[in-house]
Amino acid sequence: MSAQDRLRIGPTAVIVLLLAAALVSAAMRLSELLPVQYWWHAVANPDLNAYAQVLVHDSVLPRFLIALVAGGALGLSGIIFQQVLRTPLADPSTLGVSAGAYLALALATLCVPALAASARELVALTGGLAAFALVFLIAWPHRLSPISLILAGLVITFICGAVSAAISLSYGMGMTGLFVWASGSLTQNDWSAVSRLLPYTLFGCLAAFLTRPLELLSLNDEGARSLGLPLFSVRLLSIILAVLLAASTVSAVGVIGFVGFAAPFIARAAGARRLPQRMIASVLIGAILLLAADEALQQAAHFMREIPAGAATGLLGAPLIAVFLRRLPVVETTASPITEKRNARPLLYLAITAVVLLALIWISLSLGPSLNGWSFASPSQIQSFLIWRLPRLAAAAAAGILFALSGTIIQRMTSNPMASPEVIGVSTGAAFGILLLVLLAPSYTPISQLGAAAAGSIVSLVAVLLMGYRSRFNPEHLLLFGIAINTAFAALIAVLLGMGLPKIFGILQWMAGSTHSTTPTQATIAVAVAAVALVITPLFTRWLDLLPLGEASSKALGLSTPVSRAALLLLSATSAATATLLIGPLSFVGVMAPHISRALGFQRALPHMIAAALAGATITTCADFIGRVALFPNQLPVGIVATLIGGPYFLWLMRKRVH
Amino acid sequence: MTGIGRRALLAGLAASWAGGSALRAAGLPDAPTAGAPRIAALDWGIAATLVALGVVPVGVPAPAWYARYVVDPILPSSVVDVGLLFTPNFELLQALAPQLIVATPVLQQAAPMLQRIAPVYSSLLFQPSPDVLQIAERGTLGLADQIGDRASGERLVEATRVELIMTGQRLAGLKDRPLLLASPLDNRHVSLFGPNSLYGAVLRQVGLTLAAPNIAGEFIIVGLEKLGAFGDAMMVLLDSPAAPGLAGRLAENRLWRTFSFVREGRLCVLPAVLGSGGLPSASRFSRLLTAALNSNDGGSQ
Repeated sequence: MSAQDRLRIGPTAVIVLLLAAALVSAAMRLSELLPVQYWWHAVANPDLNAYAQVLVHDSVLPRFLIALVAGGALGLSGIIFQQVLRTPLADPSTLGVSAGAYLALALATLCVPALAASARELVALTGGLAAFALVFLIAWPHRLSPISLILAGLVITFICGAVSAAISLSYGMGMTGLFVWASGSLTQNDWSAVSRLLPYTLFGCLAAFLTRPLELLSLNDEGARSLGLPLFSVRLLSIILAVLLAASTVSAVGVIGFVGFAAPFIARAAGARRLPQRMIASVLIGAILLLAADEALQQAAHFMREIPAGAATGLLGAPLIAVFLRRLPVVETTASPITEKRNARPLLYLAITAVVLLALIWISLSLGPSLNGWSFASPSQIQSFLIWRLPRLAAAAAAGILFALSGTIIQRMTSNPMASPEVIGVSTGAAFGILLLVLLAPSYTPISQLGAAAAGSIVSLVAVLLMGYRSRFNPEHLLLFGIAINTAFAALIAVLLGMGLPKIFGILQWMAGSTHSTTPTQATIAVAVAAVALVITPLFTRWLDLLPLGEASSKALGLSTPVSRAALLLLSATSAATATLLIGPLSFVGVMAPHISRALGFQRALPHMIAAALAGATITTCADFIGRVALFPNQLPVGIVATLIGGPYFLWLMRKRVH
Repeated sequence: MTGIGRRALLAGLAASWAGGSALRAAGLPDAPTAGAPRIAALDWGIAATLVALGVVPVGVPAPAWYARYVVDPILPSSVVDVGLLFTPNFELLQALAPQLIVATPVLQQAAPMLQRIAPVYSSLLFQPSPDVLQIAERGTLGLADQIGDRASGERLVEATRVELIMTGQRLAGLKDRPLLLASPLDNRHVSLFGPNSLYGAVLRQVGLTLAAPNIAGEFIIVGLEKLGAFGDAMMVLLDSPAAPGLAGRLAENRLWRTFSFVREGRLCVLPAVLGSGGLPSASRFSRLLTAALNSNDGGSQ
């Protein structure tokens, strides 16, 4: 046995201790309910007239088992995902399963509440599998390559999240049951969940047959193929297996974050090197982690109100993601220089984009439904609608411009056409800042909100760039980091919703982007900020032109990279923070606008930025209009509509890129 | 007078023939009469209180959900849907030309824009606190002042008080029996209501005791199995407004059937009542409670 294969004492001891503590805790709770001599009786053949015996048999016991089974299933699912997707950042929710299950339940709660309440598991399972089917279809043309799966999963998660947010925002009162489900409660009162989940988990043992091909998957595609591995079928089978495990778990016990992500990691840290060992260890560790967490929470319930297990693991896990990120292996990839056709007539194209934008603004201001159906206001009639339609439109357009500028800067700095403030987690950082402010501060003003948003986005952008710097701006790492931040934030929101905090609806509403009640003053400020950003950014033209050439060339051309990077970073983060404050963290505008601009042939920094700003404003103007009229009299937040437009665009872009 | 009555009756018949509500079938006027103020009510509790004060609002958010959550008093179908609870549609509101907009403090952010349509009155009818009923009474009187009809506000407050006193007399036999108030969220969890909820306040007002007096907010969410710990309590189960019938289906659970309030017949199921619905909801709750507890008679035999 090599030194590497030896068991490491630290992590193993912690896990064994956790198991011992959990067992002691369970025994203590059991003896409070029932004298020891009745235990076997209660387990095997409970007296249906004795409440305590039925309680042990129908609630305590299934809860103990479901924690083990769900934890083990998540651990196994997590390690298969990490192996197939070749990244330690994947977890059972990466391919959209949790988000799909959530959306299906939200839709069912809205449209067929009886079904949502009585057949919750079935609805969630269907939703989770449907979301994965979409991811699968999207990644199919790319032969299910890891990055295509991850990106498709990201987009489907975003879109499902946006629609679910719109639903829970609109009908929050009826959604309490959904929020409880989403926070991952292990509470049981019969054996149905265990008996449903157990077959899937046993089915998961089929993974044993996949260990060898799976192990070869950690090589690169060429290496695996040269060993005669039917790469495609192995990937297909393993993913289906892992998704089934994830979907059945999420349908049985709700969203339980972090376990499926941490178990494989701890397994490796504890010294398991070869895949079969790691898989077994991962199952055991997942089971023990969830059991220990649930026992700890039940003990804590003596002193405080009970927190659902999924919420607790998600909350505790989020900060630890940073630790995992530091241990990511650094992969050298050279950023491919951007070589696309340059536009011969930039001014003409800019003019056309501007005309399209103005036409959209005019239509949006004139057209709309009212009590007596649709009407198109003549220029003289517009006056009366202006006060309702202009401020929100202006705020949305300003946000579009700011996101576009921020996205252009980030894309040029990282030479990654798929990076953007939303996708790499900068907007989420801003959202996190505001969330903390709203929860902790007694009162807040627009200025302090902006400050909190800016601080949050700067912290996350610095983190992401440090990460990126270590991995030489490996595009996949940047995206994965964003996914990790977004997932952690979603877990936090789920916890707050599940605990029924009264302030949360205000936050949710803001999260979805509330240009709805923008006043003329607020709109003026937003437009002014966008204008200032538009004026400042051209000052950085030279830096932005040089940075994509790479560090060595930039230095040779006399560019002080640390200073230029810091300045650009500040500008980009502030723009993203302001935009996030206006229309919420989810939108895809920051990724779409710079890309559209480049597709139109704008290569050099200045025209690239101006065209991106115009495109960004066009997208959000469009989204604002659709959100206002599509479900009249109900209104959709502009950020959510922008996500629904931007998600498919992002996928189309991905399709082009991977080819 | 008889002419108007007959016309209203005919209109009512025509409307009920067209599939109208019980209220229209009763021949009540479908549209607010000429003298009544045009009010947009941006909250269901406010809308319910206004109807109880005799003023039908011209616009209410999501009236279909009002019918599910508030149930009583019924909103006539003339009421226009003005969008969602947190994002009312300004253009539509302006087209309705209300003379007054009544909103809860939750809509504070939208107030500057709402004020461009009509004066905005912020009305607080519910807040989880030990004096829930007093808040509802103050809110109701404030609303009555706004519509210039203080007298009907005082009548509503008085009528509700009388109703609660009578409820207390009818349920006097249950004084020593602690009551649990819960509402199912799914087949594993319930909301357990505390003294600071509207239901808890009604119980206190009518002289009944709450079995779970240590809940700080309006309610806490607990696992179903925790309810077995309340050995001698009587369970009042409010059905889920989102999924009616959910409360009845709990009987399918074996553990639920071993709880002593189920085995000994101290369980009554009420239809949904809106917990933030102000005085109309308080009196609806007390009526439903009286009917259910009287037919159950506390499992005391």
